[in-house]
Amino acid sequence: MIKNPTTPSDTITITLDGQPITAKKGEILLDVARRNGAFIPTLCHLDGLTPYGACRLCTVKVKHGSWSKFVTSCNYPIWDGLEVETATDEVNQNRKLVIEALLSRAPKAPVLQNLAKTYGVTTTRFPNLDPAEKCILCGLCVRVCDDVVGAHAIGFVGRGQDRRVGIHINDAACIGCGACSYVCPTDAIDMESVTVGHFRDRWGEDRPCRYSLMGLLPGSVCHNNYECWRCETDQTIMDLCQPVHPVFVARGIDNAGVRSVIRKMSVMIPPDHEDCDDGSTDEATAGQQSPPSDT
Amino acid sequence: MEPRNEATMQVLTNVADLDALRASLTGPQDDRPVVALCAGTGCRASGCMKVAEQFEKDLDDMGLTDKVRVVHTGCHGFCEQGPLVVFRLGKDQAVADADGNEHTNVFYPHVKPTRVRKLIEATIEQRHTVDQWLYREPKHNESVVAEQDIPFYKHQHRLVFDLNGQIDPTDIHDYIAKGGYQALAKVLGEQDPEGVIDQVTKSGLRGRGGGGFPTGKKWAECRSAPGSLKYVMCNADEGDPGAFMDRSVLEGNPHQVIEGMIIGSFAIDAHEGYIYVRDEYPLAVLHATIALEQAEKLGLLGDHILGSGHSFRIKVVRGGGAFVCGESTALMASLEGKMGEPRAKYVHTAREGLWGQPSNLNNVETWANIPLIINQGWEAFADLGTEGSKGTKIFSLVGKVQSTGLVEIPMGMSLREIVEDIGGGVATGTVKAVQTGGPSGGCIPEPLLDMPVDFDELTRVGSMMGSGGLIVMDRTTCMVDVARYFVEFLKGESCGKCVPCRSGLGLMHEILERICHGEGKLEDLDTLEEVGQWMSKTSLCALGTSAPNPVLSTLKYFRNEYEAHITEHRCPAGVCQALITYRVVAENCTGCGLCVRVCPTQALKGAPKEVPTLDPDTCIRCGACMEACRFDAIVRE
Repeated sequence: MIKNPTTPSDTITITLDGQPITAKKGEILLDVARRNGAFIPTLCHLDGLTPYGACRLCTVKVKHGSWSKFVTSCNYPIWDGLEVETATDEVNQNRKLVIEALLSRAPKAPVLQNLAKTYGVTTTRFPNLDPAEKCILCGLCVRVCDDVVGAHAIGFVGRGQDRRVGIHINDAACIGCGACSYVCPTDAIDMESVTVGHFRDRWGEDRPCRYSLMGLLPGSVCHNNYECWRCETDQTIMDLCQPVHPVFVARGIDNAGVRSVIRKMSVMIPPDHEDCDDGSTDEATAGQQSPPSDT
Repeated sequence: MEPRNEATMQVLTNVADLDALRASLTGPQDDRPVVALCAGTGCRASGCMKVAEQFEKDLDDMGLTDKVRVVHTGCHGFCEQGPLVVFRLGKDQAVADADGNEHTNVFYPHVKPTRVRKLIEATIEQRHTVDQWLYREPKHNESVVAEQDIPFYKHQHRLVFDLNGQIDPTDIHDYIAKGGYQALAKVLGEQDPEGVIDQVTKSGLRGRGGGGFPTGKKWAECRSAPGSLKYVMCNADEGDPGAFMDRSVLEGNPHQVIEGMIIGSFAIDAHEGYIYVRDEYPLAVLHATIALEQAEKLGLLGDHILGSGHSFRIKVVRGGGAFVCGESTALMASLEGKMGEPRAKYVHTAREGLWGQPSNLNNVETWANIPLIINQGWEAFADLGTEGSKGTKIFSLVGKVQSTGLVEIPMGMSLREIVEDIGGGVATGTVKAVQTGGPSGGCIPEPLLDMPVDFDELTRVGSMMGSGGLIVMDRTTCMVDVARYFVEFLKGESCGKCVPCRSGLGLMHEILERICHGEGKLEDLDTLEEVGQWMSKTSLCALGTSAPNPVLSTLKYFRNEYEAHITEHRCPAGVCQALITYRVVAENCTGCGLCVRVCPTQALKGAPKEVPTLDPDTCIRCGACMEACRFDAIVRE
């Protein structure tokens, strides 16, 4: 029944909540719907990352003649004649259950409390297995580390209700960039106090600056014991890169201007770290097209 | 591993070579009496390899080694009767039974090494059956001599399984002698890929792995998908508890699967193939590997197969044991070396599958059907079955029936025929329900058992064909407990990626546990239905969308049992331990003291020759006392 995309070139017409709209064949439904003003909430979606379809919050109903199906709009390629319902009672009922299920897992997360308020979810019937849990397993951290940072330092471990994100921080793969913490919708990754602590242990005395590992600064040594909040370099780069995380800048995703300023900053940085010799600033070419948007 | 057969292993460069090899294999030596000894996993577990050794030794002692051919075959399907031995004799070697009737096929169940000598003497030298060791059918308690007369086999229609009990799976020559690779020769020699796809489409073959997608349509889509690198895969990651048909086919007749895959690769224009088989099937892995080696040696795999322009190779990949890896996208992720979790299938595997290339994945049984369709013609295949489901299907018939095992039946046969005629009915009298489709199938109540086995019919009543599990339940089965069991299994096997499957199964399990403990509330049933619907509508993969089936179908057909648990705190089947009690019936008790001795928690106390007392607080309701009592003096309430 589903027509697969060939090339996303030809213009087609779909019906979005009763309104005919035009779009390109094979475009992703969520993008088209949001562009046309539909409100579809998401938790595991971030522009620029591989669609994942895990939270199921963006599920909508698609129809064609007598055929209908619930699909996740974040990864559904559209085709001519498709009818889409983004906010009917039936669709919202599915969303409410997703919110109810996630709320039981991470009841204190503001993003879930807001969603619960929007959709009128007041209680949850799902059991809470770990009151300290904050992670909702959206996988944004895993994908940002894979797709943007390219470090592949974290991944999922376990299955079913035992599934969790494994942060193999002692593994040499992590560059301490904190992008995982930055994209996390529920603040489940405590970068400064926990993760950097592991990072500190791994490097011992000759610690390279996080920003040199990200490729933003020529190889330099951290003299602040990874207490980044005290570090002038950290503050300057963070300010320069606002509102995006520096690693996105490092990967060429945002703002060439910021990169040139950072390069100039390298004069203020203390002597080079032996293992991280220069040349590292020009590699910011990873092929991501769009900056991250809000979740 | 070299085949035992002394025929050559030279590369076959064309179809004539294959025909010549086949002709050389059907010579006079095959008139010897055959001892077909089941060496499948089931019979191995019951000690068939010791029986095999004994046959070798005794035949040697009797100087009959050259006069009798012993074949270690694959699974015959009747595993509960193992180790199985079938004597297949020529007309002039027939044996007489007690009534003087002659037989050329004699079936012996439960063969022990100590019985081997006598079996050989009786069958080969004295030419009569050993009546006390023959199979006795449970319904009338009469002995049956020939395999084909046993009700369990008589009502089956064995096509895919036909060669399983006849050939040695580790010897390619056995398969070739029985007409193996003839379909491949026909396809490569005379047909074009479109013609092959056309035949498969017209045959009406649908995927046997559970989805029931039309195979020909899948192949056509993969063939027409843009891309020069295409893959063909065989799904042998059978994970349903109690189901083992794919294992038995791959173990017992790997070449039929391989032949099907080569034909498929030709139709699709793929040059690389994978057999993804679970590592818990060591014999299937071994036999598939041996079969691939032998097929390569004969040039049936590799470059320019049988002198044609088609080249194809297959690798065996062992799965790591996750149930979800039987799902197509999770299987491919696992093949690619990633974590075995599913992804969205909005773009078909036929277009973007393994490593993003057009790919075709079929189940073991589907592949094994392909050579049959080519050999017999699609018309013969399409003649069998119902409007929407053609051919045969292998089921793993288990549960409370008298005869359990693997059964191959034509589509359209009724569930009642399978249970009553093949399975011999249930010992307790009446069937309560039949659960089809593995852990995520549904329970079909007794009044619906006359429905035909058909993909669409089973889905219509809230169950599914699945890969072919068939569990028969009677009055001693608690339907709430059944739902709880399957949900527990699926909860442990859910990958946890998507919210509905991960959280939904967690909540369902929690509720069902409570109901089984008599702590359920009536509104729990609404929650189960609501969450079940949500899961089936919005889960990411088929594991999640079908996982609520056991709950939803039992709620639909056996709601009264749920209500009895909740409102009356009673388990009608007497299964849920928290809701049952045992009582000593003083008038029946003889004071033998057996129950007191078997009680593991000393809950039963009493001096010899006295009626014992039962302490309900110490009793763990294991039922050991009731089983031990010979005077019906302990009852479960």
